[in-house]
Amino acid sequence: MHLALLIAGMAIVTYATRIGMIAILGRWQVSPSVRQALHYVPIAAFAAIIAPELIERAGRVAMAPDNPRLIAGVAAIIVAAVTRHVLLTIVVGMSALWLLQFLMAR
Amino acid sequence: MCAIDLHRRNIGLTDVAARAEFFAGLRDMTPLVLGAIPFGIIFGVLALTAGLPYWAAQAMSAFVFAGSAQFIAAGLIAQGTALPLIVLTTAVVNLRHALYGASMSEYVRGLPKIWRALLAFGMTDESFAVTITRYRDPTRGDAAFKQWYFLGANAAMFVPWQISTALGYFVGSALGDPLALGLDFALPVVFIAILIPQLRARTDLVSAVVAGAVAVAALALPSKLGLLLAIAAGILCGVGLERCTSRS
Repeated sequence: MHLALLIAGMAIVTYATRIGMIAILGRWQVSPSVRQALHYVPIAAFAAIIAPELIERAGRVAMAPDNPRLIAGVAAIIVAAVTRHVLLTIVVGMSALWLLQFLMAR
Repeated sequence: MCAIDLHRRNIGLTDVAARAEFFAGLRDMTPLVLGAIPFGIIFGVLALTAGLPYWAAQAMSAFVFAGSAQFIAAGLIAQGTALPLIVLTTAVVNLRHALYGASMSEYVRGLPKIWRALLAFGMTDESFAVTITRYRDPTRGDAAFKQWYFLGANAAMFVPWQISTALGYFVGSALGDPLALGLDFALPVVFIAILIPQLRARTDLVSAVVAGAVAVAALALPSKLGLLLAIAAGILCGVGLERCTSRS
């Protein structure tokens, strides 16, 4: 019973975070300064999710060339910046990781 | 224009356009879903080792449907943490959704309530990423049916998340380490592919670099607080620089 309550509580607060601003801002016209700030939400959020994935290894900062995720990530960033091609970026990034992991395991 | 409007009233064509948007959402999510499946499996294993019955693990994936919050909750349950504290932690971990919702609000404003309620339920980091990118690019997609794209992106994650949870719970230990393949790297790589082309102005670049740096510096903070702090810092620096440069 406690577990059902816990899951219901988690579901309610999670849904509140998802619907909250959609419901609130859906009623009013967003002011230009809020709109200006919202422009940066996806940019800041994606960057904040990406950076630790490339730089963190087992809870520590690993900014060294023996970190395959950092190298593969930089390769993907370069391909994305030059070509702006989504699929090519994914292919290069994943291939680079697999190649580096293969080489480093030997 | 008029001809297009007339076509729109034709049920058959409407169905086709809606279906096309829905499947475009599914398709664009594919690499992100492949990257998330290992985490669904790990959650199933984690729930089992935390002593949760199967129904609870599956209910959490179905009704909470938020990867990082589910991971942290399973860990806290295993430690015997008080339930209100687990709920509070869940709220903090998921607070970033409020920012996603704020960004999404102007695009879903005209939709019926039931649509907005449904789309909000399924919104994840991944579906927000692909959907907001498409919505902000006026050259892509069919504006009249754009809610179907969001729905497709949400559905693309929801169904595999349920299946991978069950898979992890029942056969997880036999699968070995689901992260060994490195499929989880698909998330940062797809986000790179989405983010980099969006960095058009210098203020965008500064915002991204600041957010990334703060996220790494704040790794030690609990419950994804570092992520929130990083997003806030990125927004503030972007807006601040924009105001400084426009004034001079």
